[in-house]
Amino acid sequence: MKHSPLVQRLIEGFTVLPGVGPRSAQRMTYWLLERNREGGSRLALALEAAMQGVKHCARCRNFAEDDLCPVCSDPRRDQAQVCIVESPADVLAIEQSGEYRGRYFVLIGHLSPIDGIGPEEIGLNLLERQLSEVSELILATGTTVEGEATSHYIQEMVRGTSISVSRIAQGVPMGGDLEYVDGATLAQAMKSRRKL
Amino acid sequence: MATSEKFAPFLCWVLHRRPYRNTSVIVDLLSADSGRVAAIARGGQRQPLLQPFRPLWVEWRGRGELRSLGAIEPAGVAFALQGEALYCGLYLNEMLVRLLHRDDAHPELQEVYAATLAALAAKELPVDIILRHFELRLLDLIGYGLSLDQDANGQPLLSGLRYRLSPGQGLLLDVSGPFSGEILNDIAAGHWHDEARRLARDLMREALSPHLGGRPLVSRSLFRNAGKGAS
Repeated sequence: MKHSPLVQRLIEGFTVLPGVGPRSAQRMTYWLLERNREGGSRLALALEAAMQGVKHCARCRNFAEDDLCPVCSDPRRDQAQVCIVESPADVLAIEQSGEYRGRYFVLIGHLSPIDGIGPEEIGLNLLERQLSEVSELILATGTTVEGEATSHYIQEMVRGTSISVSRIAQGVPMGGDLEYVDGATLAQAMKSRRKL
Repeated sequence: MATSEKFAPFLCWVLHRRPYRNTSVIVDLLSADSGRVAAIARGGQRQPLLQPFRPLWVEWRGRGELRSLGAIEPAGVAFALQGEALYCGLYLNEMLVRLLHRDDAHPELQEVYAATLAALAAKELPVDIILRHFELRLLDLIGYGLSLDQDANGQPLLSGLRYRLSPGQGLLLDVSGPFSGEILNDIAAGHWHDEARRLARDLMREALSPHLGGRPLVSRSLFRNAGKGAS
């Protein structure tokens, strides 16, 4: 059976979401049309508003609705301490840990030459311009090969300045048995053990 | 599935991985018998083994454009490439992904690749010289070998003369050519002085560029502080 044009358009619309194929898109579409038209309209308005209203913070590249994101415009946070992460989701994860009082810089990706992503594409020129206002950088990029390359590139960028640079620790997860930790993590944990 | 052919296990190196759907990844592998192979690894985003610079035993199914990855096991420890050596590793991988056609096997290449990674990890030589050796071997293996001890007509290179590179042919005599015969001879003899390293870099750039489809390698932009321009 062929869908009518409006229904077809909505199904195709849903397939832009990650993990949503044509079947789930069809189910979502029918569900909204049959049972929750009001919710559907709210979703449409919220989508439209967010797509128009959410931009990137001029300072840290995280999502923001004003020029600066809430963290960058918060005077109680240490604006000279900057934690560098790969994605907005990483910011959220660190915020939820409640341990950090500085600000962030969100790369939105990592160096990946094969994909054509070099230093400019992840905003490192913007970071470089901010370095005069920074006293400490915490590198919290991923532990993948690309995350390490990114971290190294930033270290080189800062070399020769008085900025103190650290890399977040890597090792055994909390509440975990050593037996189940993979070899690479364990080796890293052993290498970066600390004196008590 | 009608034909669920299983091929296993192969010694492979991950050249590249990119996320696919929710938790899967598509990896580019360098294998000995099948050359560069693309495969989908379901749930691969949480698979810490699927990283570059680590030899792996890999099972896959299928023969088409995109194989389906089965079991993965480490075949050795990962090369701990750090700093500039890590950029060089990424440069090698980018070059292989751009230069090799899918399923075009060059059995020796895997060994050359592993030896190059080992040399980078051990810092035996300045990284640019290691890269130049690799580039020369790679061109040779994929059938575009460049001879550095004679010109395109089989004549020895002469110290007082100048040469230019003609794609597909080799070095040609040219009074206003960019490459000096004397330094080319030094390179062929393994005398890597500063000028030789610069010339080798320019020469290999020119030799590789027709095979890279006009776009430069992005990895080169990583070497911002490298004095002699490693790439």
